[in-house]
Amino acid sequence: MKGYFAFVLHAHLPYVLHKESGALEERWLFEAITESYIPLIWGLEERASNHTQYTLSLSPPLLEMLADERLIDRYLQYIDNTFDLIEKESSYVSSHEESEVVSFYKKRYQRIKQTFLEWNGNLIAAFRFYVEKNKLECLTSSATHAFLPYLLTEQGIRLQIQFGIQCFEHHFGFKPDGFWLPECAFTPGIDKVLYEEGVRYTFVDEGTIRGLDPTPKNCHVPTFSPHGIVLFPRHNEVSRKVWDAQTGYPGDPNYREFYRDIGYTREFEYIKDHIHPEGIRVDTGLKYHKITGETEEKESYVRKVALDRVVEHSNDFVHSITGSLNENRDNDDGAPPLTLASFDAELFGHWWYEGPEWISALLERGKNQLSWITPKEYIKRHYQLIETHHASFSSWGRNGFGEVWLNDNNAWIYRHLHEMERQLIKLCAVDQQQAHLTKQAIKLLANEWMLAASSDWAFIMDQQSSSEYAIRRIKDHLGVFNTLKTAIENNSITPHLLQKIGSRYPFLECCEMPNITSEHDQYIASQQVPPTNDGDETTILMLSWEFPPNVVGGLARHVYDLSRAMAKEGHSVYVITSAVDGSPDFEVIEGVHVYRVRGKQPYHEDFYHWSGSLNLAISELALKLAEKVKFDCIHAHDWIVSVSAKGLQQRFNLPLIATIHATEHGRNNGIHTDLQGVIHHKEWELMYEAKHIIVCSTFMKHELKAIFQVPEEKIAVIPNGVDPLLCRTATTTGSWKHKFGNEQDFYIFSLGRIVPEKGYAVMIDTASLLKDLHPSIKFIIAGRGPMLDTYRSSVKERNLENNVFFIGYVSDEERNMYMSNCDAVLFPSLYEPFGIVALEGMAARTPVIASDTGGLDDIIDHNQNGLKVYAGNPESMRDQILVLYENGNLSKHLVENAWSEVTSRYSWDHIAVKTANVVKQFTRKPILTGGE
Amino acid sequence: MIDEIVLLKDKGYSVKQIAFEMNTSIGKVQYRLKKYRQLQGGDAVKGGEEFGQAPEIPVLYNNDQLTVLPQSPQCVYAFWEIHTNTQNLVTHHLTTEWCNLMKQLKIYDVSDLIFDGHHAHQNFVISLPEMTNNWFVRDLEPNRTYVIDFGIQTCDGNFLTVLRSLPIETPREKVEGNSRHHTSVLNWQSGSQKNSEWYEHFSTYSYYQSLKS
Repeated sequence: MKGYFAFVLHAHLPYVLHKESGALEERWLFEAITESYIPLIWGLEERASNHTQYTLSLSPPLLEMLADERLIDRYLQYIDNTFDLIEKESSYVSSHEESEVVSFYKKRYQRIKQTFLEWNGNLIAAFRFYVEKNKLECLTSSATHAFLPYLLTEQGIRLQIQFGIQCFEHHFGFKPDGFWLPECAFTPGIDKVLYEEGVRYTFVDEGTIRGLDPTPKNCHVPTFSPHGIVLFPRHNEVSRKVWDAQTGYPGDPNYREFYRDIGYTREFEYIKDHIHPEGIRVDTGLKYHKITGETEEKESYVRKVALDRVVEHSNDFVHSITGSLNENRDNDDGAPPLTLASFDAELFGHWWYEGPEWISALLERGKNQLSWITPKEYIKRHYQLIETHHASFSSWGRNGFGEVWLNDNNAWIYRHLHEMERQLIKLCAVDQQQAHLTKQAIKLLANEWMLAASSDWAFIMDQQSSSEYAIRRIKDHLGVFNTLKTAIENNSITPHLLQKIGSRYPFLECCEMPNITSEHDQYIASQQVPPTNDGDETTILMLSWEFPPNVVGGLARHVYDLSRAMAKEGHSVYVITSAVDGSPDFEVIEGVHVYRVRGKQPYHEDFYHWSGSLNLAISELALKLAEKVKFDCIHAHDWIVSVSAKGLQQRFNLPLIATIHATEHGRNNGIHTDLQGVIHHKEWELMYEAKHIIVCSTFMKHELKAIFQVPEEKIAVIPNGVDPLLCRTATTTGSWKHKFGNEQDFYIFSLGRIVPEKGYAVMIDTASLLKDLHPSIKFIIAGRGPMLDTYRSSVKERNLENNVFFIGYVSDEERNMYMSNCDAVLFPSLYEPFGIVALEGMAARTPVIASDTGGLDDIIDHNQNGLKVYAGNPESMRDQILVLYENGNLSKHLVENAWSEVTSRYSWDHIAVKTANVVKQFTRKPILTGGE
Repeated sequence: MIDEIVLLKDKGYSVKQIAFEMNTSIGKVQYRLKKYRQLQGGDAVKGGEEFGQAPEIPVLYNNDQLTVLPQSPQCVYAFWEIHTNTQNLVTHHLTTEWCNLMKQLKIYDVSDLIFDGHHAHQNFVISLPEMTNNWFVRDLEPNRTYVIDFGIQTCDGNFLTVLRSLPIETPREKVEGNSRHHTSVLNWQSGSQKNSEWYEHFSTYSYYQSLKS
């Protein structure tokens, strides 16, 4: 013999013990007890030896129903009713053959009742007894027999497995180390939870093993799943001999015919007391025919002939097992093969009436001819030889995967089952310090979800025969789930409500609800701080696509400085910005919560759709944040975030404040393309939706009024600020000057993107005017841009190589060094919405010369904090440079005034207060009257 | 009388049994019960079948979710829901009413890739009829990892992703020469990988998933 044989049964019925007796589906349980479970107990009772232990899995719903006290009366009533019918039948039937069958039933039902009463109606006690006698090995399945691969979360799987094990332990007094996967449905990840819950082995379909990666040498050898669960495959060919409707043993002509029940054939008046009270004809259990063959004329059932066939079939089965084992090649090094036959327990007795007798015959015959083993024993002996493989999704259903439980007839249920799973986890996460009543309610909620998730409902819908009941059950559990959920959310749970809901299906009362809140959610809850915003402080959601280190223009700097200053003032600031590689998704920078999000298409070729993708991501995160953080307002910067800003404003009904840093119209000197038109429209929408608009210069205010017709009173001008600390340099010497000329030369520094509107062409002209009379005046221009080469050539052509230097990119430190140690900074811009560089020059304590354009015009007060020149006018620029060149005292005066503005008007602290004032005008904070 | 009926009813007796116990007719018991239930009108437990008609199933939950379940080596089932808020965002971004947008599923084969939202071994698109919230995606390859996007075909010919599923692995069908996970299993066994390199279908669901503190 090359290998072992093991026999496994799985007993399961969905939970159908309704609160009110008489439900049609309750009969499923009565029939299974009568025809399968009690005859199986007889088999155990009659067998003397314990050489041939088999394995029986009992599902938690079945265990709970078998243990229910209500069952005893109801079942006895059922049996007594059948007795009455048998009595009636004895005088009703006429033929000798039929009388024989009736007297067989009479004896059999007497014995059934006797067994039931012997065990005091507690069949679990019977199975437990035979486990103790070593005749049987028992294990269990998931809490409600859910098709585990179709659950949503790990917690859902854990609940199903943990409740299953707890329930079994409650009824059997020990924890099982084997576990029956409902429908043998496996998928990667289930093994992890099983292992963590103490399970060591389970059962799968042969197809699971055939599809292992790497491919196994023999598909009848158990394997370890990656997480260390031994997977025992069913031997399909051998098992088919029993379950196959056409070719299997149960189809033998001598066996009892299943469908011709007298419940359907007798006169209604005669039978009405023995069928469903509502007059629905049902199986009575009394069937008088044998299968006979493919004919409508069925012959009478002859018990003795059927039992002879049982013996023959058990012999045949032993023979085919031996055959299957002999097919195995000699396998010296690996774990030995195992022919495992596994079936639904109800197949034996209920579907195949003679099945339990066949099992007894098999156990008897196989005792000496087969090496029987239990899965547990197999592992004990051979675990060292079992190999590990990756197993993919599979089940024992039609075609080996999920199509029985997922098809056009039943797919709709998963949307609802998943939602219940999510809601359950949500309720646990939201209230982690549950009061006693809430705890009870959550447990009931879990029950309702689990009862709805039973694989039976999807299975019944697939069959399309009695799907009505299955649909009604799902609706029922879903409805009660939602009622209870609302009660928990509204804090309106009462003991009466819980009692009412719980008594519908008193199920798994023995189980403790485990903690299903993720570590992350526990952490978030532990971080909860009581809101301190009882006064002037506001909680602001700030949206900006740019934020350091993602610096494209001046926007990043602005939002960075503003957010930090507002946080310093005591406001809670949450910035959501776009992700950059290498930066964390979340960090707290000087009190500012910075979240960096990535759109689902972070490399979209089209910038416009890239921004759309970013907005969806911003909104998604903001919605999540709002679950925990109560925002007072949304502050959006520029059009790129307008879609999410508008969406969130509508969703939360919060005031929206928009800061407009620049406009598409201004940047392009008009709107020329479709895309510019779309962006222009987005800007308009953002301003339209905003409660108030902030701009940084009167220049921008005029632009918005002129181009977008924004009413004057909707716009606040708050200039940009500057942080002097960020303009400091470690280099105090002017040693860099040697690169360009002498230490005592007059150095003018400028910085900006090298584009036409920055006016560097004018600067070159000015240099040309000064060159001959004042060769010691030098111009240093830092920055990159499309005009860089053009300007460099122009400098060469005009022989200004010793006067004008375009030095390209400089680091922040270099910038600060030049700015602090030069004699003047100069900004010759033609268009400039704000001109933050001018402030940086002021903060570096260097005199500033700037053109009278845009925001620069606002900042510079001529002769007070700097000097102003006519934009685009080289002569004007020359004159002002010379004023400064010739008057050292003026320089000192300008720098002092400028510095005092930098530390007041342009300090971020000041700006934060002003911005907060705008925000506060529009947030409806409750007014605290104090004194309770 | 009614108190006794309700008591027996709560014990799980059928109307017939109650009638028998109380030595009265079924009709009388039913009548009393009906009256009693009418009086109890605003019962808090609606939805339990024994508290009346089972409720209708919610049509939507106003969630953003796109879930994919495997059916077979060639077929997966996708179902989704788009929050009205998200619909509004997309409408705003594309300046087109939601009902006039062209909805699609885009299926990416991302086997053994770290998917960045764009590159995949291959992808294909299914145009969805209006009012559709689920689809059986067929003609897939066994033993591959897929990601599915629900998105919009924009009028400028771009695809804008609205929702993305978690990766899903189609089961293996071939019985010979499976070796895709061979190295991963060895790495896992030897402990050189802390987390499994293959995709496991379940993750711990955190309600405050994207929140940090």
